[in-house]
Amino acid sequence: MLADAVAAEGYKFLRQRGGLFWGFCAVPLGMLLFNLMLDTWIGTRSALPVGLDLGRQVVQGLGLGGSAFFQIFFAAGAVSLFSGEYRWETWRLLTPRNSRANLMAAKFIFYAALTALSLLALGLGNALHTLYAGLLGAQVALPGGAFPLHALGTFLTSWAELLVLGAVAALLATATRAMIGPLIAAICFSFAQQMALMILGPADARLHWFAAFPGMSAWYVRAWITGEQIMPGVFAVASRALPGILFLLGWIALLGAAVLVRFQRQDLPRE
Amino acid sequence: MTALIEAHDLTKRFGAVTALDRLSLSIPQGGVYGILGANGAGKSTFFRICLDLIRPSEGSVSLLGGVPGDTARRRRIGAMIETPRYHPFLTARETLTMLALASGVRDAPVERWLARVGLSDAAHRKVHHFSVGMKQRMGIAAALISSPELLILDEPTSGMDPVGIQEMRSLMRELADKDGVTILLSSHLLDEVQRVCDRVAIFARGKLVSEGRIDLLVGGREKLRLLATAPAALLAKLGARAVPDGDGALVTVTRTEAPALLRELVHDGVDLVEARWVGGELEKFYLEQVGHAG
Repeated sequence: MLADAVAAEGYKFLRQRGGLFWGFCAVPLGMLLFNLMLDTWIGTRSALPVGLDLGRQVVQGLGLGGSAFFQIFFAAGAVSLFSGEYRWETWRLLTPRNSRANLMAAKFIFYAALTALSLLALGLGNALHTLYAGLLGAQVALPGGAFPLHALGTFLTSWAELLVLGAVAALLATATRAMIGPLIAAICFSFAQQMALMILGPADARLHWFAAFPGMSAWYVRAWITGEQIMPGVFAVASRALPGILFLLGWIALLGAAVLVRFQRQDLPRE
Repeated sequence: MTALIEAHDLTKRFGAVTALDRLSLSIPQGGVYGILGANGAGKSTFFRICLDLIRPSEGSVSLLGGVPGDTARRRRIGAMIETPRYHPFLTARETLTMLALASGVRDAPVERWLARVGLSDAAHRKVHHFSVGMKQRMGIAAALISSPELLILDEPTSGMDPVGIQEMRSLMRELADKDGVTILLSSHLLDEVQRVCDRVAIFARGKLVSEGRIDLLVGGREKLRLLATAPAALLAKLGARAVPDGDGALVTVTRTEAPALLRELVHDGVDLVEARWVGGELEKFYLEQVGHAG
């Protein structure tokens, strides 16, 4: 029955062009076009940078899921997915046909699949623009041996961060039965974390309560995977990154369960 | 009689408002069952509980022998609750296909159902732009797309034109008589209910005030009104069985006895102009019941 719910959700959302485009296609497409234009502009006016690392560019693209700016779009996609049935009062069409758990799980699965594809498209877009810069004269270095691990780790971390964002949007949508409110709240959630990270992040290498925030956890885990400095001379360490992974997974499980419980118990006299 | 839906002491409260008040009802399998009541009588609340859209505050309801929360049982039901809503970005064809997928029906006969409700020409149009009557037709197609055993229709002809209402009436009888679908119908059009339903339940302020076969509920109240060229002779012939009614006579007689009576009058030389049943309208019975309850 879950397969039926996923099939119906996919059939429906793939025809919701606005939500699909702005939520999951605009970011990779916009980034690719922006980078290609920038390469062209720089390439025609001055020398492109030497030593562009293809692997590093791809990893950077995969890590863009952690950007608060790009999370605005993912939040819009999540809200259009989870709030739609309330907005159009269409739960009454669907809930008699499948279990509520399956219908909500189908939305999560679809959101997860779309964010994964979007992240992969961001990585691919960065690869394309790097190769394009190479064609324009930049010196491009091929990926090193650690690339697969860095790419996979960064992708999974960014994906987990976006899944937390989706779960936050889903919980807000289910609790309020609204669209605009959850969207604004989800965006504030992203930006508040980003600001806290900018203010407190580097000093928080000791990992106290603040590290439990998904944005902080993801930032630390990504830094650990890629071996980048979190502040001058300080590197992320495994003993502190591994709890970050658990925090991310915990947030997904906790918020996801809260959405399911809330939706399961919700009366739908009017959506 | 096998019961498809059985409610026991069903109560639903929304804050201070009691929408259903210890309602007990048994809806049998087969035929068309009407549920009547004023706005706010609890009809839609009852339907929503049957579909597990809302949960009762007290009491229980059994649906096809199980609980409404059982998805496998709910999938054997098709429903259209109040004015149906649709996804604004889907066409009629896409809407039915999506709903069939959600119900686990692959290769659903989408075109057949669109044709059956008269929407073949609008299959490619977004449902959002449909008129109210077309949305109602679409709602019926959506309810039928998974070939249900039980069909719940809440005000199915609301917003439809007279031709559409007649078509829907024929469709309902056809589904009940030929396809064996049990139909649970709510409507404010009492004449329509009387024409299409076999049994009715009347709700008032969340309570059941009357229930039974329509012919039995209103049957004992109807009289045969006769009009003849010589009213005095007619009344004299009928004696104590009739009372004057304008230029005619109201006769207390059962439907079974009526043909013999008419034959007898004709044989005795009474020139009958008109014979029709009066006083058996569901509307009158309904207003009395609701009036008593109020």
